[in-house]
Amino acid sequence: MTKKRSTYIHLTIDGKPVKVPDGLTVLEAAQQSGIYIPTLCHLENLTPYGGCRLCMVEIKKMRGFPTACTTPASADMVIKTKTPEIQKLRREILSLTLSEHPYTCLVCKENHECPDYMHSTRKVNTTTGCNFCTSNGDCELQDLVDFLEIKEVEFQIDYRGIPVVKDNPFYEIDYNLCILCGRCVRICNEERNSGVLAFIQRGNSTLVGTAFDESQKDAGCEFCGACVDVCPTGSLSEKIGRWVSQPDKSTKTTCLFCGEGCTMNINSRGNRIINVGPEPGGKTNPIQLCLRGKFISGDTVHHPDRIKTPMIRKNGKWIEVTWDEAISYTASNLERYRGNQFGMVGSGMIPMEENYILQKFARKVMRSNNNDLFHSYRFRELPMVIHNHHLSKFPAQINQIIEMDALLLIGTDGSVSHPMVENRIRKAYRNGTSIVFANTESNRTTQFATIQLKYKAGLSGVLLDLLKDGIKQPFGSNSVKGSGKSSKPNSRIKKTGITEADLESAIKALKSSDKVMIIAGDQLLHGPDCKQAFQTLIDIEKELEKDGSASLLVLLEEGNRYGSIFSGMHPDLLPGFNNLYDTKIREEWSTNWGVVLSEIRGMSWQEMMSNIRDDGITSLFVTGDIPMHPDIENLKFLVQQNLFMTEISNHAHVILPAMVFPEMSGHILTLDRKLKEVVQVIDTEEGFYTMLQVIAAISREMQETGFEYSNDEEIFKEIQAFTDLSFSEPGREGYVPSNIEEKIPVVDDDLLVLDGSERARYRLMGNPIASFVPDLKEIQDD
Amino acid sequence: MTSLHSIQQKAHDQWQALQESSDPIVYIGMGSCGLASGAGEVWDQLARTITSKKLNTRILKVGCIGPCYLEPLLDIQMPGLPRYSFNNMDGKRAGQLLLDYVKKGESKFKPIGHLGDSTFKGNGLKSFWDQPMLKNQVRIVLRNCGIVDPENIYHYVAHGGFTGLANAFDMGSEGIIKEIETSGLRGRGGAGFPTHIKWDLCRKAKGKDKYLICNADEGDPGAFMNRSLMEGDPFSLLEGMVIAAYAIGATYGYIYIRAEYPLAIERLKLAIEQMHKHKLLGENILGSNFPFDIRLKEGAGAFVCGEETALIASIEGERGMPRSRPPFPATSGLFGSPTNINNVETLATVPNILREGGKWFAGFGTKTSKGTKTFALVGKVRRTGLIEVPMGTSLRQIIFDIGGGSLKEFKAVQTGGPSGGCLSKEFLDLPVDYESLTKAGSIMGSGGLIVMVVDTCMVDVAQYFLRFTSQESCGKCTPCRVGTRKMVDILEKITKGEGTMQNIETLEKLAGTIQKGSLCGLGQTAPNPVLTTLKYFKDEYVHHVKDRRCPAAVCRDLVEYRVVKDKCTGCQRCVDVCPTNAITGPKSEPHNLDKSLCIKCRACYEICRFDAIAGDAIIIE
Repeated sequence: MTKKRSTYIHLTIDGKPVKVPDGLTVLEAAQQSGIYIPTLCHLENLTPYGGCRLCMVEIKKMRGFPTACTTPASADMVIKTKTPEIQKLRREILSLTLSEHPYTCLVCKENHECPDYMHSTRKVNTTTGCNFCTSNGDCELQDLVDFLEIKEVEFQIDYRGIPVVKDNPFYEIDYNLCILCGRCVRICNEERNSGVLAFIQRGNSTLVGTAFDESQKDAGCEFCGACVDVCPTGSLSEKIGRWVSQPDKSTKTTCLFCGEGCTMNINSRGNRIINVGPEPGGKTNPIQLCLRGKFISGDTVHHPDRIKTPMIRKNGKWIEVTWDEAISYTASNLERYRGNQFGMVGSGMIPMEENYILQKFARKVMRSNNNDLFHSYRFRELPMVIHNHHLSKFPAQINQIIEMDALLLIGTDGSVSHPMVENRIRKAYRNGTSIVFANTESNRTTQFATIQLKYKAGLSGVLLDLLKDGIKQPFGSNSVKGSGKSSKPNSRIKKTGITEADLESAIKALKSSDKVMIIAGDQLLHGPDCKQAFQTLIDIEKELEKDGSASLLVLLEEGNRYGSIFSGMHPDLLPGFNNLYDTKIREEWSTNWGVVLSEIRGMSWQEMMSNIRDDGITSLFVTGDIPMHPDIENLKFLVQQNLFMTEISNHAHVILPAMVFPEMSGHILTLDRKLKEVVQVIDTEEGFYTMLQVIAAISREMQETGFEYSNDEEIFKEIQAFTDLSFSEPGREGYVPSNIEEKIPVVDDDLLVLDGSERARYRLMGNPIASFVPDLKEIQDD
Repeated sequence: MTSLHSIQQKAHDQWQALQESSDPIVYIGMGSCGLASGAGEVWDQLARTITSKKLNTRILKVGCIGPCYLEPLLDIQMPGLPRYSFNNMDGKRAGQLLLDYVKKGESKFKPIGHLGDSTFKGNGLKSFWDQPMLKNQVRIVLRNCGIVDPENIYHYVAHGGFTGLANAFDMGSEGIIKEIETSGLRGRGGAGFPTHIKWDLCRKAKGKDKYLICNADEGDPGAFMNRSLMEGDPFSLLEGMVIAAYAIGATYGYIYIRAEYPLAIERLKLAIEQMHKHKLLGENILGSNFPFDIRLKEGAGAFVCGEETALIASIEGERGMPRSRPPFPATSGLFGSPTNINNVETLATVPNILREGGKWFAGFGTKTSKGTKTFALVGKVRRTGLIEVPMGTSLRQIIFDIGGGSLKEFKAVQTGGPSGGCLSKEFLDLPVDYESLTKAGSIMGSGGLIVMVVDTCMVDVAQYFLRFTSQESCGKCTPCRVGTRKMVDILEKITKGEGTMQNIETLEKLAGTIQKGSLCGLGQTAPNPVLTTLKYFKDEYVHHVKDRRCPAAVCRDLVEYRVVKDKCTGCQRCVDVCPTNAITGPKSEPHNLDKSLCIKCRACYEICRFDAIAGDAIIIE
């Protein structure tokens, strides 16, 4: 990066002398000086457009009325922003816009009385005036009508009569309200690089649309919802909450769908989520989300099929019971299965606090170390290796991706699993970053790859070895062929299915770049040779470090996978990544919790499943859902705390209603190890128990103590007290806990299928999202 | 420069041999205009005649020489004689003509002129150039059109081709720009920006790559100057581009050309190929170390892509939408690099200036508008065609002396295409130059001249042009996208007799908003046809609104057709053409017209020789 010398220029705006940094547009200069210039099409961070013409100003020595958003500010400019002539012109232009937009309520003299009498007007089929519009009250056109004091529109009114598009998943499109500001088109192409929206037709028939007028879905829409967020009118609106009216509360919280931990703004009214998007009145949404973040949370929270009452199975039938009954039934049954026969399946989509008490309950009350997350890594030490690596070297940050000279992506499918990482990758591509994309199959990232290495499944280790060997070679030597390794590189290259030329150019791109980031995805982390592959990745990072800087980003899936393992939801690890089998540590934690902790090796999720058959596991407490395993029906006691009834519910004995993250509060650790807060957005319906209440009540019934927290904060304080969340431990490079024996568990074939499948990622606490959100199913079915 | 000398020698020899050929040679005008009127058939018939009669005759294709009304034109060159031109040929006549000449040296078909030089005084036949349409023209840009084979580089070189380029390399880039400044050349695309300033801005702009773009997206209704030029003399444009590129330091050039001009595209491609072969394009042109290459980019049919920023967007692969300026293309244009865009005619003029000198060029024209300008003279004028006159020639000279006057009583002339305006007969003595036309409320534009006569309704004309711009608006900015549409709607109301005086006021108001508020030239000039007609023909609007009457009897809803019994001879021609059988009547008796069946298609009106059936504007109460 070249160092920018910050120089300032002086100009006069509306008679006021101002001083602004050089390089701004006239609009930005005015905004920085606190002078308002009306705009409709302008949006920060997007290319200036100059289409709405409302930001026209008068600049001395410039012909006509240049638009403030496109004109660069230069020294000594004399600008007038609100002369009567400009205001008149603006009024006329906005009137022209309004003449094609259902606007009647805007200029109606009685519009202030209307809301009192129009409870149900929003349910009409088309928008014929503001009172019928989803954006009523949060519309930039309304603001401008006020600003320009438009009382009537003198031009002939034309209703465009464009059919409202209702058959897209998640959002509706009513182009009759569209004012062609082009924000959606620009954000789709410039910010999201999805390239779905474009202008179609010409002249007065110009519209926003897709290539060949296909549906958004067929045109490749990723349903990130960015277009909906930036729409200044009600032209694009979320289906959820479309008829609920304007939100009365906006809450910032953290999204838990993937490990990126994006901040999200949830707008709600009462206990109802209206949408996830910019705050009302916020003209722009700097927060970019993805399909799941933007559209799924509301659909989940207000899903009609959610379990609301605890249930006990009696004589093969589900009986709704009170919480007290359910708790005492659960407690009395669990009493019988204490010890190593009990298993706890936590969730990566609940905060650290909840996982902490779940594993504490398992370890302290049930005396079992069988704690794990659904879909955990086959090489169970992997989280420890990753964590240790991050301790020795600060983890790469998602925002740094765009600053890189080269990226090595291995086994990623970012557009599906980590859309905001993908977003940065695409931006980096636009900036000219070399992107080496190694994957077993082509996906959406392929089109942003400068070099693609498509290798055969299961050979990520071999491929990484080849890369490592090539990178190790000094510059100039034939890096691929000249490898000193005993096994012939040529045959190894052949085996992986890539070409020598591609490998050669990938190595060259990585080696010759100053700043390199390695991004490892699911395919690698869940692969059979993940341990070796990950180690090689670290070696590659070290090699690249010699020629410049290098960093590593590991794409953990669920929002709180890192934090959940940190909280102890792992068979081998106590909270804080503390080795359970280290006697000293175990004793320390025994004291912490006032119990003698078991030293029996814990089982991973896969092992728990495989051990049901021989009664190694007789009872399970499942948070959320897990895929059906044929042995589950042999469990003696299965407690499922979930949002919906699922396949395993058929074999459960107790069903407890669960909460979902907009209803929870707590903390998470993102994949780049940032501690973020999850804020409770809406209250659950009366009668819901939080995780803390459930576990505390069960342990009370079981005559156990240690769960007398009055709220989540106290749990967090306990985590903070016993662990180091500041990650200030001295470098522990090369540290591998010695007495955790490495053992790749025997995994059932059924589970293997799930591991690789893309569907597995679109899960909410283990529940396949498509099973309860039909709109998502529609997208995935293609 | 040795390579140019060798080409010149070869070209000279080839042309000389052609002139002194002992066999008859036929030249056929094979521009799009000629082809449209049947030149292809003429060619085929001649080829057949030559084969079947085993004649030693060669046929050559040339571009359009200008007078469209004479097409198809062909020249016959008999040994020892210059080319004799024959007009309005068809296959049959052409075949006969050739046989006559080969056998007898003359034919019953009389030539309209010869193309020999002043030394030739043959049999009382006048020179082709002495025809009234051509007599007052000065042909600089069009000098080769219709004379040379546009697909043969030697023909171009034999007519002084590439001497301008050779001179340019000697002058250096500053010298070229100086020479252009002396010539006073201004942009021929319409706005008339001084070419040397444009080039100098781009030359001085900082940037690694620079681009030169030729704007060949000629889209004005009725305009075909650039097409004819590219079809008739493609090398002059390409030579001009090399010179311009050398002057500004561009290494890559684009010709943004309408896909609707397939023949021009084909000939340009052939020309580029030949220039490559002779090292007049590519690396190291004429040993000067200057590399330059040209690529054609075909437009997809959007009028707005003639606007330079939209054109740039289109070449970049984006939707053709204009961008705000500043930054100007000269500093940040194609792919963000300094870019210079010139019109076809501007660039094709350049080799002539460099060959003959800036002073020579400045000798033509007026004080502020130098040189010559081509016009597409069309509409209700007797002699239509492509003409070239010195700047400052009056509209009267163009329309009456060259064009032979209007077909009926002259009413108005539309200049500058949809961005221009309609000028009434008071302006006939207006000298055609940039300033005068702008002052009158119109513009020079790229050179379309549409002559209108008494039965043209000016409200209808305004509506036609505005509908065109409205439909061709890119849709980016509100005033243009919505405003022009509103104006069209109002004009439509007026032509239907539903207008009010309030509507006319709104028209004027909207015109102001669109002019001041629009992003690009398309919108800013779109209201011109309405504004000029409102200015010079306001009474026609008033007639439409107040009297519900269309004085020119054009607006369908305001006229009724009736048969004047006294005049009708009962010839039945109208009965034949009426598509709805609204006219009936026995032969030789006055016909009846059933108004309930009449769809006012005007067919009977046009066909009636005696003006017996007249669209008579009536009052609709």
